[in-house]
Amino acid sequence: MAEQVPLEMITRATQGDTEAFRDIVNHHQAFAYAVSYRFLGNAEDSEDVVQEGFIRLWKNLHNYKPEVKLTTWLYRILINLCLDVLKSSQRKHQRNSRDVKEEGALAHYSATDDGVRTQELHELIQEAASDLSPNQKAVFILRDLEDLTVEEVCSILSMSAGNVKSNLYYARQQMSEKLKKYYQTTDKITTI
Amino acid sequence: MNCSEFEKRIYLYRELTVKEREITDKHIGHCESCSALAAKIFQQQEIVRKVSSVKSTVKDPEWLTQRIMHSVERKEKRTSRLDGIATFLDSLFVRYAFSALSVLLIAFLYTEHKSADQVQPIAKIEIREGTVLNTTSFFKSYLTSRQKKETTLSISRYTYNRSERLLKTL
Repeated sequence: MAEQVPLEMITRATQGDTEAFRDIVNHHQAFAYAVSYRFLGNAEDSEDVVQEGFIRLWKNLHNYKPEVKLTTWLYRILINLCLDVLKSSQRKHQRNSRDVKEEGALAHYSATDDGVRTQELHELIQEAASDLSPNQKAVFILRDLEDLTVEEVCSILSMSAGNVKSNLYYARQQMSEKLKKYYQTTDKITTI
Repeated sequence: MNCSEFEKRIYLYRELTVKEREITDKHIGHCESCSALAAKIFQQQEIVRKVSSVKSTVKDPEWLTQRIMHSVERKEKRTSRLDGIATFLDSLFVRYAFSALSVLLIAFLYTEHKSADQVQPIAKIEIREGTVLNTTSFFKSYLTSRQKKETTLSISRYTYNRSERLLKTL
């Protein structure tokens, strides 16, 4: 999860200070985009979701309670928006034209030591996750990719712990099947 | 507990309590198929963990920030303009002015209604929808009534002449 912004900055933004809100946007934009991209696998949709997410955050900022992390709140807004996009019928059509397959898409990943193979695996997992149901995908992304606690996932998705675990079980099972196929066709995984 | 129940626990190993983990580890220790499944799942989860460090980044973060802030500021301006209108409409002077206008409007409509009641309707003609003026039947009935009138007139004229003639002879 992204680092928290100072409370003083949030307070100024709740009072209508757009410059303070600009700082919040700059601080959380990367994390918001990464989460949206994990859901949608498409740069254009992800940017739209990030924009709409921050607008909603601004509109509801006067209701902000310091006991709730701003990132948790932002996660909730983003995931609801992503689920709306995923559930829309258009999304099904667009799913096949994923950005990761586009030329030069790899250039937009942040460089890691694992290099291109990890990026390939990232694409594979992204592709495999696209076949999960929206709730399974949300739980898998938040718990396994974003590494949030079960309590945080429950709070963001407004689900019971039992429901989260049930979705997580089916998601991991399906992901395992997909990765197994990859195992059988290549030795890339074992060499990482 | 049977192996299928342990299989679920292996997938949810990270979410198990300490006690549940102990029981599961014990089972994995002596069950070959569950042990193989656990090795595979743990390896896959390690891959997913490694992959989670790869995060896609915005092509142009500055541009996206500008885009977001532009929308926010535009909404803010619209809201402040609407707030200004709302404050003006909420003022006491405007409230009294609207009240006075409403009273005048009601009075005007009442007088209009009263004067409309005094006008007598000129004629009440009811024409049903889809009615077609049948001129043939109209003229037929008109001609019949005229013929009748003429017959009556000729009979009365004949009777008058005859009576006059009788009177002359007398």
